[in-house]
Amino acid sequence: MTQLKLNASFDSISVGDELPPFEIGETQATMDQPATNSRVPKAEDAKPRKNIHNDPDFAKAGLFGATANAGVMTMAYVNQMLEAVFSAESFYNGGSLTYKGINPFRDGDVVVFTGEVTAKRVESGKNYVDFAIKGIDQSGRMVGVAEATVVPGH
Amino acid sequence: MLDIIINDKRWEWEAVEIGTKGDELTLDVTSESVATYAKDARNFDHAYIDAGSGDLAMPTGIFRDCQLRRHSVAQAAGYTSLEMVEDNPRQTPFAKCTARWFAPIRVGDTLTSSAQVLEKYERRGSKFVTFRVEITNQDQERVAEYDYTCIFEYAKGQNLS
Repeated sequence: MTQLKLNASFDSISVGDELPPFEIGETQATMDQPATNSRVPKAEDAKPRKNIHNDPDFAKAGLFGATANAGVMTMAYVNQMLEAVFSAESFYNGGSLTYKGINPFRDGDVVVFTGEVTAKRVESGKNYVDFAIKGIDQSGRMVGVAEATVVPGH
Repeated sequence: MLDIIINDKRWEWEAVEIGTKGDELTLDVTSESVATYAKDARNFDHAYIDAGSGDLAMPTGIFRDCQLRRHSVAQAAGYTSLEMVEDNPRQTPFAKCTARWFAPIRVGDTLTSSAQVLEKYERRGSKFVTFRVEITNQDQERVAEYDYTCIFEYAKGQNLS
């Protein structure tokens, strides 16, 4: 099976080709950082604002039993994984990304994302490449699955 | 911008109405915002860390620059979101999300976003709400959107710890 390389051309891509695996971990510190840098206006950050990402006591009583990262941050990791091959333009040309969380991505977890091409097509003169991606943690537990479509310009 | 009012009207799943729309949020995309988001995502690509005027933002940066503010949707309906109620606050965790991009987002753009309730449904005893966040730039061009599904109430006995 071929592993895709940076700036792979549409013609060179085949169904079954793989994205380079992408490994990333979370710690409480990395999960705290997005809230620190939130762009939501401060006036809206009024108390009380319990959060399963950065409040261990609050999270303990919830579905996950511990703090977990934000699903949209996991999407940023998948974005980064795809950008190892495709430029940001490939998203902005009409791309899409779906992520479904299956299990929490928690403090101390290390997840490896892998993915492969499921289809390629030309529609209205644009090149589309579809991917199926999954994330597995260090214990073999699946944390989530993604479907992505990128639109490489060449 | 609406003032945030914390009242005792909990925006439970039963009270959620399809089509309810929150207020708009307008933010500039700056070199600093692009770099900060990339660092938080631990993406140290110089294209983002050193982005200058006109350079592309990281695509998933829409989740920060155009954050789903579900409390603004709850407020529009006269309720307080479950995260913000004083008594027994509860999270409505992420279940899934689909983002679609239609045009480039660059340093120097001004993005305006708002969220509305797209659908609500029950599945296997859990209750879900999907919000759509629509994003336009300073030219009123639709640049992206995303559909974000939250678990408002999960089936009794379910535990993912």
